[in-house]
Amino acid sequence: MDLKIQESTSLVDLKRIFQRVFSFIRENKSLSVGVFTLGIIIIMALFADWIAPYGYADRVGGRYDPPNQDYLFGTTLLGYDVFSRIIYGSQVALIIAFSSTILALSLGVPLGIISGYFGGKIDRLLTLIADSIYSFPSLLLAITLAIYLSVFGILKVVAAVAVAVSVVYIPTYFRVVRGQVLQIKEEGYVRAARSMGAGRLTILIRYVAPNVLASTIAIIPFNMTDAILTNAGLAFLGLGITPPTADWGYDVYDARSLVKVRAYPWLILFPGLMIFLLSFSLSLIGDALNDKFNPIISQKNGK
Amino acid sequence: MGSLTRFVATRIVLLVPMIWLLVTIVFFLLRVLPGANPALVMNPKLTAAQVEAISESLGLEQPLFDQYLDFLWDSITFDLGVSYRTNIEITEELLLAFGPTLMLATFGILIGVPLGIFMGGVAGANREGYKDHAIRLFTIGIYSIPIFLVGIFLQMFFSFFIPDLFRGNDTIYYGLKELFPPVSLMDAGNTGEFPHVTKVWLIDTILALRFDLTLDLLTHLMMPSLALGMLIAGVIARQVRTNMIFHLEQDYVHFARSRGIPEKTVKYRYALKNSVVPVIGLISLQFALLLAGAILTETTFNIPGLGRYLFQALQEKDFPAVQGVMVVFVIIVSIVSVVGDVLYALLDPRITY
Repeated sequence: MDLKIQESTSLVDLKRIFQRVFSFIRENKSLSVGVFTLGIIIIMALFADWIAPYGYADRVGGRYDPPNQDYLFGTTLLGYDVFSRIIYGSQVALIIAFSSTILALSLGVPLGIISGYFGGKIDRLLTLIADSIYSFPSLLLAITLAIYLSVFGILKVVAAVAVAVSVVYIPTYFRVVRGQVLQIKEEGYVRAARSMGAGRLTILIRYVAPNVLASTIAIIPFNMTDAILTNAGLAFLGLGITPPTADWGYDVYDARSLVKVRAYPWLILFPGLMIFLLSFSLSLIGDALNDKFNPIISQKNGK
Repeated sequence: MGSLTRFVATRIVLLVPMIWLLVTIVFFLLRVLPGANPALVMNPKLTAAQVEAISESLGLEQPLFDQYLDFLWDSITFDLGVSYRTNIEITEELLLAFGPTLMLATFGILIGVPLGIFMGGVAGANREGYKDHAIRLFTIGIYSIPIFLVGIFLQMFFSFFIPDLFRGNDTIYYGLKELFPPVSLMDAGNTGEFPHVTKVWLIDTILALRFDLTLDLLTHLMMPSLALGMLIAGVIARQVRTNMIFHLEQDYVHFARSRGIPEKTVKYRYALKNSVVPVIGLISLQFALLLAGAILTETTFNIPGLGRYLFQALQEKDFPAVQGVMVVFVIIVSIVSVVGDVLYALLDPRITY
């Protein structure tokens, strides 16, 4: 058993970590495109009030104005400015992406650690549950939840998507983390800590958890992508966020009939494009991280 | 008893707790979550008398545990109640809706799996080459576009944009319009020109010896299947590529090369073959994706399948129907995952249980 010297990840080293992350991003073309696009969308969401020329529910233009100088991406039936709605729509999209991921992480990771570390009956039970719900269609779940959570008003869709996507991603994190823990708990440094009398909790938090977290990073972007796509799917079925809140999914839903698509293509084109851009940038990031962290590929890569 | 037989047996036995767990989740979602009466939550416009009638038919005034037992029993016996909208047994309606979904899913898989294996193989064999990058962009891109947008785009492109290019020439224009019909599969299948014996219309038309109608149905299925197939292809290509890269580094591949076996044979016969086996497990795991894709595709193309049924049930607040679709989907998903595992075990000789 080789005794590995763990690279410490204390705050002092944060600068070094940032440098490494930055150079990793710069080296990888698709990753930098992804990060750049995601960055723009995040800026859009944060500074929507300054960037958007109009409010997201202001009847500023005429009925179905095609794209022009005043209304870059045209206007809707009610005269809403499509461009402004797109800017504000990024807020909802990002909230949904982040809340889904945080929820799934905060349950999947601890459960995986517990299951992998303690083993026994808990492990078997949790694995069975994870296997059962792993293949559950999250869109279906989101549909049901969206009907029921109406008590929460606007939040209902965010909550429905977050819960539904989490139900599928909790088992995903669970599996990865559990597998990692099974490996790590037999590593030299953990055994050393145990032999020095470290308590279970200390070992879990100080030695196991930090090493496990790295393995979840590659999953996070896909988790976010699925959240955004589930929200879009929910909207397309007419169960999504309703106006006046700006949501790309709703705008696509509103413009989906072939008659409208032919007559007023900008109504579906721009919100659809935004959904694509956000998911695409996240998937690019996920794909690059996957290559970096995927044990099958990276071991031969030697990077 | 061999280890494989035992594994298959265990897996089938495990199906019972799996289905039980999932049906329980559905029950919890539909009956226990806040909102005393699910029918009321769905449709606030119902009168008090209507609500009472519904509650009685669903047994909602019973204790929760009794409801749960009833729900379990009804689920496994497929006694799903009667639809509000049509007053027809939901089981019967679902059987009708099953055919189109089956056709769509089958063709989606038939397009997606070979395409995915092909793309993944090429990408893995030419790692970091321009083909690899192009295929990679495609797989990431197709996953990132909501499938209904793909559907709408295909419809616009093939049913309107391409025919419009040939406006002057009537033969080509109407030929293209017929080849890429913008009307739904429903119109093509419910013409009454052939008896719906098996509910799978394609088979019905063949049984009725109306091959012209078979062809017509196929043209209607083409675009939705393509949309679904591309989604499946993207997911599979990604997995096959990873596996290819792994296998191309293995000793048996180096050995095959050193024996002078042509590079093409090594790559596409040796490595690809081994890279494809795990895909079977993947297909069953991605079945949820397929179902979600089917729901959205059916809605986009107006295909009267399970997804479309669910959509209509949702729109018209038909609570028992929604519940029925959920239960059926959950059971299908469980069975498919077991079938996938078993197939995988049969095909991969290394796996012993």
